[in-house]
Parts: sequence; structure tokens; C-alpha cells
Amino acid sequence: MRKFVNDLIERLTSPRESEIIIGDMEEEYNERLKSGTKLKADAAYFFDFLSLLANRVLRRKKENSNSLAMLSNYFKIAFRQLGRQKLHNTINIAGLAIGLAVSFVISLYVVKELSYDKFHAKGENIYLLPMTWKFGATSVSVAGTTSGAGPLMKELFNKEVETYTRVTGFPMTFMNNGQPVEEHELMEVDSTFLEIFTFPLIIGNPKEALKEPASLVLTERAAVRYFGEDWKNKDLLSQTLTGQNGKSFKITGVAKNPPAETHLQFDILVSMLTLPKNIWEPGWNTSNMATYVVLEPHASAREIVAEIPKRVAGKYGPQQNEYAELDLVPLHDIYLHNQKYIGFDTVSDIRYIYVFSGIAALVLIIAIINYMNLSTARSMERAKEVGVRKVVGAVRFELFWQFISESILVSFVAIALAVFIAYLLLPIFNSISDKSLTIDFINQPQWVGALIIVWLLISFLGGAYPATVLSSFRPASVLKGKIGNIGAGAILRRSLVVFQFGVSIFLIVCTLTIGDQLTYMVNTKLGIDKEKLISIPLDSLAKSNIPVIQNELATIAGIEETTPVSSTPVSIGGQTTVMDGDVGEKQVMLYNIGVGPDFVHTAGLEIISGNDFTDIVPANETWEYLINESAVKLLGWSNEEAVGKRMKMWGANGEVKGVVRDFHFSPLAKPIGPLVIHSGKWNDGFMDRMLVRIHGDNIDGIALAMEEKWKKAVPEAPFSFTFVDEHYENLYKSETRLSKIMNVFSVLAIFIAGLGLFGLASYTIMRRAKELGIRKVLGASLSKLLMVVSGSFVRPVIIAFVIAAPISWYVMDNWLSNFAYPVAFNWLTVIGAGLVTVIVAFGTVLYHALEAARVNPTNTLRSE
Amino acid sequence: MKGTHLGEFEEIVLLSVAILAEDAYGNSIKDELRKRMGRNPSIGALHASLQRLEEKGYLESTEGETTPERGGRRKRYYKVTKAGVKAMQQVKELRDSMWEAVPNVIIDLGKR
Repeated sequence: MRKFVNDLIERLTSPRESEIIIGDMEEEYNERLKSGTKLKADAAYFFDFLSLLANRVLRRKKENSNSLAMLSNYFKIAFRQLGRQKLHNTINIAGLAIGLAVSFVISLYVVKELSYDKFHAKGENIYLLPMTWKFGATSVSVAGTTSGAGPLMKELFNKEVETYTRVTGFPMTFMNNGQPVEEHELMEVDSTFLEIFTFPLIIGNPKEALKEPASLVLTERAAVRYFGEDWKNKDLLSQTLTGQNGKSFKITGVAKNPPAETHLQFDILVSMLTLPKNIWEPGWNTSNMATYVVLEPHASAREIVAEIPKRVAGKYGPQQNEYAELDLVPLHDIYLHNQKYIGFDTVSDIRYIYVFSGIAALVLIIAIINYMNLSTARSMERAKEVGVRKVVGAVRFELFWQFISESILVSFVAIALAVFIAYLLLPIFNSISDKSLTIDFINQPQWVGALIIVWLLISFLGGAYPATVLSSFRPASVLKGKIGNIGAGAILRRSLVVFQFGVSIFLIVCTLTIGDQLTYMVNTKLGIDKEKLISIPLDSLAKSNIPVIQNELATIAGIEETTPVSSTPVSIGGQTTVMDGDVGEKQVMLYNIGVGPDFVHTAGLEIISGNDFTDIVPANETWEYLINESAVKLLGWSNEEAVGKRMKMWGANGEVKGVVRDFHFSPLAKPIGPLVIHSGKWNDGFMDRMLVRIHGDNIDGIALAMEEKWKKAVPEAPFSFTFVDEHYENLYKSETRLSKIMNVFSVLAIFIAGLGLFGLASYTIMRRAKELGIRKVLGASLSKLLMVVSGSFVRPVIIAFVIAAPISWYVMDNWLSNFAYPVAFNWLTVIGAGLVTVIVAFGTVLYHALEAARVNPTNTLRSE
Repeated sequence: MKGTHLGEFEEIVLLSVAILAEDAYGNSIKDELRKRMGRNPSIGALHASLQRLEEKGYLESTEGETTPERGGRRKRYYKVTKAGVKAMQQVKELRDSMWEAVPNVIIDLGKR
């Protein structure tokens, strides 16, 4: 950069001067290098250059005063213009400002989303190690791996893999001021975690912190929760946290709160060795650990992935590759680009970024079009001014710059207003999108730069066309009162109106369709009765006291039935292998849920063949299964045949007792999968929640009673509950978000388009005042006049409709096909959108049309 | 009087050049201003000022040696001319005469 700056200085100044100035600057630069960083020195160098430039330009101005006077005249005229045409300019600026504000907020959002997981020092070399389980034709790809995958990678690729860390998230309960608190934002991690990821410790040694069993690292916010705001004075490294059963955990560090922009969110880190040995010991049974590997800088992830099957085969024999497949996903891709491997709640989807950016661009284009349109339309009024300037000697180039400088002024006002609107808009957007975006120009000066670039860009984009048109007027004809090429401008203006309203119709159709699909998904009958169904999370203490809790809860009047379950029945995610028959001739992947014997009643399922679970869990090892219709189909049985079939799962033999009707146990984006419901082994900590079926309307009373009974049964376990129907609605968070944001956007789009049309109509009707006067004199009625006037504005809207309808159908049909259970595309939405836009267009024009039609023709026809 | 008037910044630049005697070039002047005045003028402002002073005839300059820190570029040493000294004296005399005209009561105000 210094070289470039020096070149510039040499160009700007005489050789004699430049040698001295650059010399001085270089000397300073070397001084600064000694006392500070290179970045600071470079920055100072650049500022020196800027000051030099400023001094040069200021000095030069004096010498070249003529063009300066012209420039100041341009701005003077521009200011006067702003003051004179208040309505026109308000519309112009407001439209532009709203459009800019929207795209500004969206850009904040997009930049934030793109910045996820980018703060880790080793980020370039960190990869997630996910895996795909394969069972015949079925396979499942999960972000979590087995506990053995990480160690295996290190062993097989000793040269390429530097280290690895495994992350899992079994909740734990700690005592906080005598109250049990179940920590969900808690991760058990290998001791390498803090070396691999950049989560700096405020106190503690990152290399040692998580090595010992029962050691933990708090984040600042957790430290505040447990030790108060003044935790810094309490020497936490000598303190402990108490878990359940009096187990004590040593605090070995306090980390800064993880930034919002990471998929690894935690309050507390606990050393992996704290967990029972069978969980962390390298093994291949369940995939419940996210494993991250750090590759050596020279290693290529692609080559390693290609090499894995060969080395696995070399070590364990080729048949191993038929069961599982390992992969590497760059850390930077996990948040937005990982749709294949399921298991992270904290990730988003790049497609949302595309959709939002697309919409922001559309709204901005509408706003810029408005600006162009209105300025061009107004240009005729400036024709005389242009004529006079040309006669006095202005050349086209100068006039062009005059109008660009006006544009610069107007867009500056619009940008300033846009920033203000964005400040107002941001809290609303944050609450919809569940983000915490802020506008911070001081710490993020790049936004100032971006705004300046956008400002200049809009000045040129919006100003170039009107400037070209205006500066092309021929002085002789203009001053005689004739204006040349209105026709060409009118066609362009019309097509721009068509575009604006086309976009509005498109956005409205999208909004309505997304809303339709959302309503359908939330309200559809699931086959499970999710109303008045409560789910209580169980921590490890509660898990070992399930019968006690059930007995206590059963005494409450409003509670019908309770049953423990291994996951909420509206979002069952886990899949497992099930063998058909005792010996396992055939293997299939089934979704599975472990339940208590009363599950079918509690959840409100329907058994279509066979029987419910036997009430008492048999003492022998024979498990009992209920399977759904999809599982029956997958196994190739009929509903009747299925009953009594033998199945083997997790090494235990069992028998199918009955078949339940298919119900939706995952969001409607996915088809109903094959499911096995089993009642085996439900007392060994496998059950995560308690389902409670209640009746009556006294929900508050029941909740209070439940808490009271809970405290009696397991005083040391935390109590909380959710309603299953709410939980279900939460599954559609991203769709709900999309729908809300689309609502806002389509309203804004049509508002801006309406604003533009309003301005355009006011202008055009004014131009046609004489024509309307003559029509009136000749006897046209009010309604006839309204027809004449509004017709010319409604026509482009209708054309817009004809173009936008098929496009929006195509796009939305595509979107709907992402869902296993889509609503049919509703053509009424298109017609509705068309009607809305026509009404808006007609309404905006009507105001002016009425005014024009009512005016006394003598007033308009009097003067020539 | 335009062309001979001495601005405030010009005055202290001129004084710095005078203080530095034989060693007055861009950066040493800048350092002097920083040390004595606590000011940190930009290179652009300083050079503009030096140039103006030279145009007014208060400074004259000679080319000096090169050093490696400067990337082999020459320094330009400044020296106060006779006219420069006169201008400085004039300013001082003007100030002094005005100081004398200030009543003691006012000066006492500042001591309190």
C-alpha cells in the first residue's frame, strides 16, 4: 500500500516536493514501526497521506475558482429544488430511505450469519467428523460420531491429523444457593477443546483445565449466576460446584462468554472424563459425540476423506466400510452449508441467506426505480433551466454532473434517513429473527465505508438516466416550449412501474403461500393428541425415581395419565438398527422411542392391529414392540402378520405386540418414517421426559399441584414443563420466521411501489390538466374522466400481474416441493395479490384523478 | 498586508525552525512541535505551512543528505531568512506592546 500511496504523491506534487514529503513520511513510518504494530504504522501512513491530500485540494481550490463557483451553484440549485418540490421530494426520499433501511438491516443480518465460527485461530484447519450409517438400502447421516471415530482418525492419519476433540452434551444438575439447576447449555469435552477452539480463559490454564475428571470451566455468565457479579474477587480456582449426590466439581477456569456467532454455544464445559467410562472409551455403539479434528496445514481434507475407506479396510477388513462412512466438514461450513448431517440445533441454512438477500435486493431495486422514475418524470420541468444553461455556455458534460450532484445530495439525505429508520427497524427485526444485531459504526467502521459506496452507487444509478435525458435537451426547441423525447421516457417509466408491481405481486403471493403452508403444518391432525399434553424434562436424579414421581402425580385431580418417554413424541429423531427375527436375517433402520406402558393412551394413539403393551414390564429379557404402519411396510409384512413377529434391537430379543396407525412424529417437511415404540429397559436412565395427559381447564392449578408433588418426590431435581403443542409449533421456527419477515417485506414493497405510483400520477395528471379541461368542456362526466385517468395507470399493473403470476407460481411450487406434505398451490393467492395491487394502484391514482377532474376547466385552459 | 501576515500555526513553525537552527527539516520540526507545544500536526499541514512560509520569503531551504530510513530520499533543511526574523520580531513586539497595555487588574485575574 505504501508503494501505491507514494506513487500517488509523486503524481500529485512536483518531483522536488515529493522527494522531501515521501522521505519525511518514510522516516516517520520507520519510527512508528519500532514502537507499534505494522498495521498501526500503515494506518498512520495512510492518514498522513489523507492530510496531505486535504491540504493540497484546499490549496488548489483557490487557484481554480471558476469551477468551484459552478459546483457551489449546482448544490445551491439542488437545495432550492429540494425545498421547492416538497411532495415530490418527500416521496422520492422516503421511498429510497425505506428501501435502503431494509437492505441495510438485511445486510447486517447476512454479514452476521456469514461470520459464524470465523473467530477461531485454527479455524482453517478444523473439521467436523460426521458419519453416515448404512444398513442395506437405508442410511442415516449424523453430525455426531461414535466415541471411537476421533481416536481412529488420529491413529490412521498420524501425519495429517494434528489432534481431535470430542464434544457431547449430557445435561447435569448443580446446586445453586441450595436450589438444583439443570444445566442444558453444558458440554462435556476432551481436554484438547480449549486448545483447538479459541474460547479464551479469563482465569485458568487452557492446557490443563479439563484434564482431570470432575473439573469444569465456567463462562462469565455462568460464573455470575453461581457466584454473583463480583465473582472476580472470589478466587474461583479454589472453589467447587456441588452436583447431585453431593459430588463436587473443581472449577479450573472461567472463559469469556462465547460470541453469538458460533454453533458451539455453552455455559459450562465439563471434562469428558467426568462421564462414565463406557461413554468416552473409544467404541462404536452410539453416535452422540460431535468430533472435531485439526488437520496439519499441509493436509488436504478431500484426500483424507478419499483415503479413509482404504485405511479402514487395511486395518479392520473391507466389510467395515459397509456399515459406516466418515466424512470431513470444514468448521466454517457447519453453520450454513451443512444440510446433510443432522444433529445441530444451532445451525442455519444458506438458502435463507439467499432468500433474504434476494428480497432485500428486490426492495432496493424498487426504491431506486422509484427514484429514477420520479426524477425523469420531473425532468421536463427543468427543461427551461437546462435550455438557459446551455445558451449561456454549459456543455452537456457539465449538465450531466449538475444533475448527478443533485442526485448525490438527495441520496445523502435518503441514506441518513435510512440509517435512522434502520435503528427503529432493528429491534423489530431482532425479535422476529431471534438475533441480536446492532448498528455500531465506531467498532465496525466498514459499515460507514459500505454506506458511502452505496450512497455514491445510488447517486449514479438513480441519477445517471435522468441526467442523460436532461442534458440532451436542445436549447432552441426547449426554450420555445417544445420538449423532444417524452415518448421514449414514458415507455421506460411504464415498464419500470410494471416491474415494481410485478415484484410486489410476487412477494405477496410468496407471503400468502408460506403462510398457508405454515398454518397447514401447525394445524394438521398429527394422529397424536398434542393438546393438553405436558412434557416434563427429567434430570438424572428424576430418571432414577420415575415410579415415585408417577405415583405422586397420579394423586392430582386434573391428571389423567403419565408415562415416561425417551423423546417428545412430536419430534423423534433417533434412528437405530433393528433385526428382523431372533437371528437377524434382515437389518433395517427404524426411528425409535422408548416409553412406559401407558404411552398409547397418554399420547392418544390408535392401535389398528394386535394389542397394547402388557401393563407390567416382564421380568425376563423379552421386549415388547409396537411398530407403525410405515415400519410394517418397510419390513414387508401386513398389519395382521406383524403381530407376534420377533425382532431384535440393541441386542435384546422381543416380540411385536401391535401396530399403531401412522402419526407425525417429526415436522411435516419429512414423510412419516418407520417407527418402533418399545417399552424395554425403561428404568435405567434412558427416559428423558415425562408425558402428562391432563383434562379440564384449570391448567395453572394443575401446574402448581405438579410442582408441589414433584418437590415432595424428588426435592433435589429441578422442575419445569412445556406443552407439547407449543413444542410442536416451535419446530417450525424457521418457517414462522420466514413468514413474518416476508409479511414485513411485501408490505414494504407494495408501500414503496404505491408511493412511486402516487408521485408519478401526481405529475402525469398535472401534465394532462389541459387535456382533461378540454374533455370536461366537451361534456365528459366525472366517472368518464376518472376512467380515462386511472386507466393508464391500472394497465401496467395488469401487465405486471400477467407476468408475475406464472413466475410466483413456479417459485412457490418449487418451495412447496421441499415438504413431504405440501398444501396445493392456491391460485386464489395470485388473484388476491393481483386485486390488492390493483386496488393500491387505483387508490393512489384516484386521489389525483379526482382532484384533476373536479378542477374548473377555465383555470387550466386559461393560460398558454 | 496579505502575503506577509503570519498565522498562528505559521508562527510556531517559524519559531521551531529558528530553535532547531541547523537541524530543521520536516520530521525534526514535527518532533519539536510535539515536544514543546504538545501538538501533533499532520505531515500535510506542516508541509503546506513550510511551503507558504518559503513563498512569503521567511524561510529558505537547502537540500541535505539521504538516510536509509527515508528510502534514500533527500532531506530538505529550512533556515529562517532575515525577513523571517523580522517578521518574528514584529509579532513579538506587537504582542509585547499589547501585553503592556493590559491593565494589571486583568492580569491578576489569571493568578487567582
